[in-house]
Amino acid sequence: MIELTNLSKSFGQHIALQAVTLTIGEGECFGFIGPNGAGKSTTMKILAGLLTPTTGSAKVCGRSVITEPDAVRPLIGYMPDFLGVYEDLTVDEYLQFFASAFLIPRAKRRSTVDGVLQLVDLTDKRDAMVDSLSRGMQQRLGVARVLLHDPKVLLLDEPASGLDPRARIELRELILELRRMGKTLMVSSHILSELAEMTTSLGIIEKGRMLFAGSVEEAFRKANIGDRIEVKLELEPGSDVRGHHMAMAERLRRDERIAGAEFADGTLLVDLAATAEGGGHSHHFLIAAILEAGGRIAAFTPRSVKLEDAFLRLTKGALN
Amino acid sequence: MAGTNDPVPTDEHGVPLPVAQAADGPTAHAAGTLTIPEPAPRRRGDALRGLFLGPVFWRDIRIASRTRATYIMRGVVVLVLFCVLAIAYAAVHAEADSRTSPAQRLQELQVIAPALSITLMWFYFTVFPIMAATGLGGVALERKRGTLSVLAATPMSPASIVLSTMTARLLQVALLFGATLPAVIIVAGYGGMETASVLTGGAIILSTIVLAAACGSFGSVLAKTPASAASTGISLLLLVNFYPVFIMMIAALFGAGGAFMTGGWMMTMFMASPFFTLLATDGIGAGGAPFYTPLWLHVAVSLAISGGLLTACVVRWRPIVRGAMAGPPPKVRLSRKARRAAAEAEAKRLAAQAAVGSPSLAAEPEPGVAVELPAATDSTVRTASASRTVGDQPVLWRELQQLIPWKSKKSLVISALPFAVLGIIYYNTKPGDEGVVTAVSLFSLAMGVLACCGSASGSISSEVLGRTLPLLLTSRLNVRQILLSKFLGAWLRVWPLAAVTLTAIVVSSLFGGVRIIAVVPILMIFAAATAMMASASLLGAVLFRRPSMAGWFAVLCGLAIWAMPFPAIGIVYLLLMGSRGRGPMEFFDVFCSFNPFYLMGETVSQLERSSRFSVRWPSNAQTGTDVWILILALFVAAATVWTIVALRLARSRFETNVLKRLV
Repeated sequence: MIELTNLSKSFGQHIALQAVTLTIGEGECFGFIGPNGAGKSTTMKILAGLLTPTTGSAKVCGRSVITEPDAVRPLIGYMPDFLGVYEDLTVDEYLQFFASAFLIPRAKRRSTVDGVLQLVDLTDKRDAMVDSLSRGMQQRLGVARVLLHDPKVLLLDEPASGLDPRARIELRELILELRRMGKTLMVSSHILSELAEMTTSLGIIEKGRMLFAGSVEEAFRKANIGDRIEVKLELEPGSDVRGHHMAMAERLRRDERIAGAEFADGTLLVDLAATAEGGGHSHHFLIAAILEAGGRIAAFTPRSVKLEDAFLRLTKGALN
Repeated sequence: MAGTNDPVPTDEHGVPLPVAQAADGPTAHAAGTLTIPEPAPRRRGDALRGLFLGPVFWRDIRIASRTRATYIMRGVVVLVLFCVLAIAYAAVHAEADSRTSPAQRLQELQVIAPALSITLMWFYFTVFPIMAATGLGGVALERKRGTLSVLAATPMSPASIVLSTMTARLLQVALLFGATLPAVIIVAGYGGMETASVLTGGAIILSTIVLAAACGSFGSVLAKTPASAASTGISLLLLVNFYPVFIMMIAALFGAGGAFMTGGWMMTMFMASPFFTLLATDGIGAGGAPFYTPLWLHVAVSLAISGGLLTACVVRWRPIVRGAMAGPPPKVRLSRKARRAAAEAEAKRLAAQAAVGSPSLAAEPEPGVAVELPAATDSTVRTASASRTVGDQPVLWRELQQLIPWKSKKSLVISALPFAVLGIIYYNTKPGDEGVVTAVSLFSLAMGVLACCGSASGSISSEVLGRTLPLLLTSRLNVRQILLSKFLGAWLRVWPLAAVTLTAIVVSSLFGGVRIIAVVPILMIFAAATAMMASASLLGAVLFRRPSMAGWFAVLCGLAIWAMPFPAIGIVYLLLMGSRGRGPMEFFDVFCSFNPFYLMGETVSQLERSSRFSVRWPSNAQTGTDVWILILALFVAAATVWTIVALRLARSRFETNVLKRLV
């Protein structure tokens, strides 16, 4: 559905994108992760036809956004990171305005606007002035706007930024609903935990270079991240807590099934390496290894692995 | 912050130094310690420096020095100045050339130096105060950038922020003056003016520049956007300069006699106005009769008004900051239906509360059980009485919405005001008076040109600032449609002003004044001039980021369109009139008359019922209508060509200039 091939974009001396290649299939929800200035918004703007790439090609549904922008526009719905509002329009007029801009026939506009307002649960705000809506409502209105012309691909740039927890949850539900509707989504966000719940695949970009693109499981596998275990050792009173734990960490690191071990806040944090299939190793070997090393386990707590860890692992020093 | 491996600074004995001595900035060399150095002791003059040359001053200077538009503006001003001087020189020289005797020619050439000096003085008086008044974004710009709250949270005083912004602007004007120094040297080379006149003129211009900067600052406090701040500043400046004329007009409307007009009180008011004081100085320089009050009094009045305006800025600063922090304005515009629904909901809520009992007596919720919160109040959400239906050209539709006078009481009053003034004028004058038609048509044209300039120049930047341009560009509308809609919107929005002129012509025609046919050329001139300015402003909006720069660009384009066809008209004129023995002075008259204001006034005179359908022009000579029609046709043609060229240029530069701002 979306194909980027060797896409590059430079602004004078600054290289915003470097040979980005990416394919997103139909119905996928692609999470786009990267630090500020990494090139996420630039990629989305190129796909939306707002920027022309320096080199490379970008296609949506097989149509080039560079040579056939007029054909691509009806296929995409682009929501920038900050909703642009006209101060003097109501919610209904705002949506009618863009319905008209998308050449939706006048006879169909009313029902279309009603439909999208219902979907985003803003029907009772129909006559409210757009600029007086809360940020969460404005974001929902933004989603309503991109759905007006029923595009196949939705490009949502930081849709959850600046929202309160309730608004975030509502927006996440809305995006999941869009996924169920069969839309192909490209969502960029800094809130990685939410992306993990929404997306079927993800891409990690840093300094304009695509470091990773694939499924969430593949990301964990590539980052060599399995489960994380918090271990607390039982020690004699007065003994060197730090020294004992550090020594144990050093010993555990020699095991190839362990990706990392460190001492922090009085506990030993052990990251298990991912298996070839992308899953984690069982925890028994770790218990056995600690006991074998003479350690006495006071607490053994498996923690769920987060997308943040994979992100940090994949971006750490990748470009140095 | 120092890294963990950084050595701790020590003295010659290896004893660690106190942190404040070790470094100038905030330093931490032991884990968890952070020491802010003591502020430097205050020196004499620091307070004054902080007030006028505070951090805001340095920020604005740095920004201006990095902006390409600053240098373009300087270059353009110098270019325009030399053009103006060349025209002034040509005018005097042409006059001298037409004399036959060498003695007469020499005598005329002696007039050149004072004429150039006066031109230079008026140029400075016109351009510099306008630049000082328009370049100050002030509070409006800070609010638009979102930096108002950041500034308000610093220890800087409002006075420092306001005055430093103004000083930065004044420095820019001073640098601009520096750029035009070669022109001053050239004029001085010709002999210049009397020292007293230069000093007098200089004092008036300087005090006016300060006054203009104060007007700009005050405008920024009153207005919401930088564009409206600039227009408010200009309006205030015009008011300060021409208020005696307005008072005279109002007095005349209410039947005041000559004694009032020529009384000492009226004369004093004239001398408080910078424009009329400079006019008097200009007269003295050119050997005119003294019409004068003490200069120091005038300068003192100007500076006092400036001080008053700046004090008002400082006083208004805190409420504005508080207003900006409070979020959306508390004014809630509810429809009658919505008010009724809200009242019913409130009644139900009170009834339910009464049935359950006081909320304070309600039982404590069970631990772990979710408490149902009352629905969030939407007190900040404003609602309209009803939503309108959007047309098939959405951008044009939205632009034209601004036209509808009954949208709000304020717009209704503003729309009715010109007609009310027209009514008062007719009450006090003869309805068929040609002068009324001339005044109304000129006023409408001036307002129309200014309004076109303002609305078109802000149209693109408001879309960029409001972040709505990317949304438009990703819709099915293309750039051509958007620009054309913006142009038509800005152009059509000023047509209600033409309706006022139309009313004046119809009334005059009914009472035996101008011929009804005058409607056609007057509307042609109005349409051509406003279209030209709207397209120039739109092109400026595409080329420049700031609406004020776009407005300036439009004004310069307007001047250019009047100056560019000079050679073309000259050739045509010489071909047509050369055989009739017309001289270069008349050639110059043709050039000067190639502007819509002159044409508008001339058209009314031409089509006055009492006169023959003939031209008293140029130089009040009785000639045929051919030249007037030729100039009118040329003006309309030039404006049309310019409009098309400007729109095409805007279209071609859009991607390079506007899309770059979206990144």
